[in-house]
Amino acid sequence: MIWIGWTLFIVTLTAVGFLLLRPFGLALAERIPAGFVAGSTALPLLLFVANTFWGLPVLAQSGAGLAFFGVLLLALAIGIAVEAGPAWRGRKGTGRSSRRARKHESDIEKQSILTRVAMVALVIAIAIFLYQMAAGAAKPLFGWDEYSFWLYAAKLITLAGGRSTVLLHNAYASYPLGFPYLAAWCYHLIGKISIAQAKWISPLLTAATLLTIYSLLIRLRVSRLLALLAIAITVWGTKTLLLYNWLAFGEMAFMDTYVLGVLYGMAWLRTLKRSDLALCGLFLGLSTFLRVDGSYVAIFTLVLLWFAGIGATHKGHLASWAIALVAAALPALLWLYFKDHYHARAGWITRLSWSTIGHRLRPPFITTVWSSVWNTISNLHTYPIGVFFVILVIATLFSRRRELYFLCALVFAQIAYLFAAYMIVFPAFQALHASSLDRYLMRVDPLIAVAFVLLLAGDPGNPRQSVRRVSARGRRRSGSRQFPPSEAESPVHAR
Amino acid sequence: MKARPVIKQIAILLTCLWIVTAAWQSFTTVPQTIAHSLAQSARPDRQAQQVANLVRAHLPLTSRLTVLYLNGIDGGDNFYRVRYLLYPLSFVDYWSWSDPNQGGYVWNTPRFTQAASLRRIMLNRHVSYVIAIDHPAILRLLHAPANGLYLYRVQRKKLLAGAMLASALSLVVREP
Repeated sequence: MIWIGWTLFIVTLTAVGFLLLRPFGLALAERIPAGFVAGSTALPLLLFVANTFWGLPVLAQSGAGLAFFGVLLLALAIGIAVEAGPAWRGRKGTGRSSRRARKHESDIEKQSILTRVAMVALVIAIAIFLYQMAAGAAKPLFGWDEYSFWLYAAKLITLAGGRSTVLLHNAYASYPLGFPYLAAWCYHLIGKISIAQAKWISPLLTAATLLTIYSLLIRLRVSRLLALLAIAITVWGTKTLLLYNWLAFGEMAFMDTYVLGVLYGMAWLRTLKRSDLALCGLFLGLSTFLRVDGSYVAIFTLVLLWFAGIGATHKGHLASWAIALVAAALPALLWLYFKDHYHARAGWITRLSWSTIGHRLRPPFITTVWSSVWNTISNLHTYPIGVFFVILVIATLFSRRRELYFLCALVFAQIAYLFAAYMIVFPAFQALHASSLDRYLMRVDPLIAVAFVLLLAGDPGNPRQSVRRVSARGRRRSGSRQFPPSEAESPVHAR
Repeated sequence: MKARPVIKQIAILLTCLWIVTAAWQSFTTVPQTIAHSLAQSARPDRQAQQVANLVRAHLPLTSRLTVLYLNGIDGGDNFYRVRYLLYPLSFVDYWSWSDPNQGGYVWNTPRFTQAASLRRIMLNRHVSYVIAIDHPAILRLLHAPANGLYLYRVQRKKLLAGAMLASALSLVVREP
């Protein structure tokens, strides 16, 4: 019975995301896992909106609830049938051509035995991580936050039949309900409320994110070895990634969604395709429904992306910027409207007062907080990814590549943001120990891994390239009406 | 890989070596981490073991049975260790969203030291057994004769009929 529920859970989330990603023209290998991650917040958002603004009993164990569930399933089935029918029929042609293209690529690349051995080793290492994740999720182990808020909220929402107002008068009223609704949807489908079951949600999300990153890198013409390397560095570069997958903490859902948003932004800097920018906005927007400070993080991410894209963009991209901004802002605005309507406008902003900030800006506090932050970050035993970051920063200083600048600057910005948050809104005790920093650092780990791999893969616009890259560059030049010249080429063109 | 500069090849090779080592080491470090965490979350001390043994000897461990464990301290290790040992027995929380307290000792909060309040908890939460230990204020309320460990059965019908709290509890077992 539980297996039916889990299957329905995965299928409904994937279907919602799959339909949501329709306009962006992604290949199936990228669209399905990305769809699962997107659907994991989009469906909760839909449940929230349906209950709050349309008054539907979304999770109720009654006739009306059952009717809602039936209509939702029917709509998804029709959508998938309409959408996937032609794709399934046309699959043979595209599949063959892509297979041919891949074969062509591998012919050019001429994989050495060493490359093959390395790929097998990386696949084994990633498989070991997935195994450890599953093994940990099956253990009776839980963290305090998930017990006291995330899964507690999910339980309340389930018991209240999906009513979004049940949590308004609680201590955590300012937290957006993305993850609680996701867990509640799981409880609703499997028919019981159980922490042991909810623990499997974040391993699923993480696996989908890793698959998406792999497919995205392949689409960006990074070799398979390097794409695997990015995944392997991501999973083994930060010990807390394993830990927080066991803890089913709501942070994992945020990390997965946010990281995909950032990586699609990076992809936009590399491909300059509007769909990538819109995808970036979509994922960043969805991530704002998962964390209380998600909108602040999304804002500075988009600002950095704007800076990194200056000069690469042309007028046609203003419209896609507008779409990305709207996609990014919509969930946060809905949530703000909801809180305003019920006069529950608590949040990080409301904790700010000049006197507390003034007290905290005294030197002993600043230095203590910073040394705690530094103690955490510089612990290479827990964060081996730090080594990669140092190499990456040095190499980025000598390179002229937008995407590397963007990712490195974003890592620095994240750490600066976390430091500022500790200085201003966190309780003093938590700030002095920089406790909980480990879970916030997970979101920079995949960015460093991907940036490192892009560094190794080289710039598609750089003349000192392998044969494959040169051919890719030639193709780009021939279609230069669609693609403006990349950054490395533009000074040459200007002269 | 052939056309890459040597430095890049070396970087890829070293990274692969490190990843394989990390993955291999995880087979020893991950069980250690889990064991460490489990040990932190529930290391039964002697008293918790004593309470758990007593309850186990007299009650079936099902989630349908609700017990009220009165040990006088909210958030203390003893409460959670006993609760962990007796999983999946249902426990009444000292702290809840509807009745928050300041944490720490609950024998000076009216919710756990007034007969009427305890009665309300027992009726509302369908408490079928009460475990009481250690604290004189609570034991006095239940008319326990001396300090010790008590297991009472709640007679719901008597409570509903309006009997005194102490007379609606029948002693199952007592350990000095």
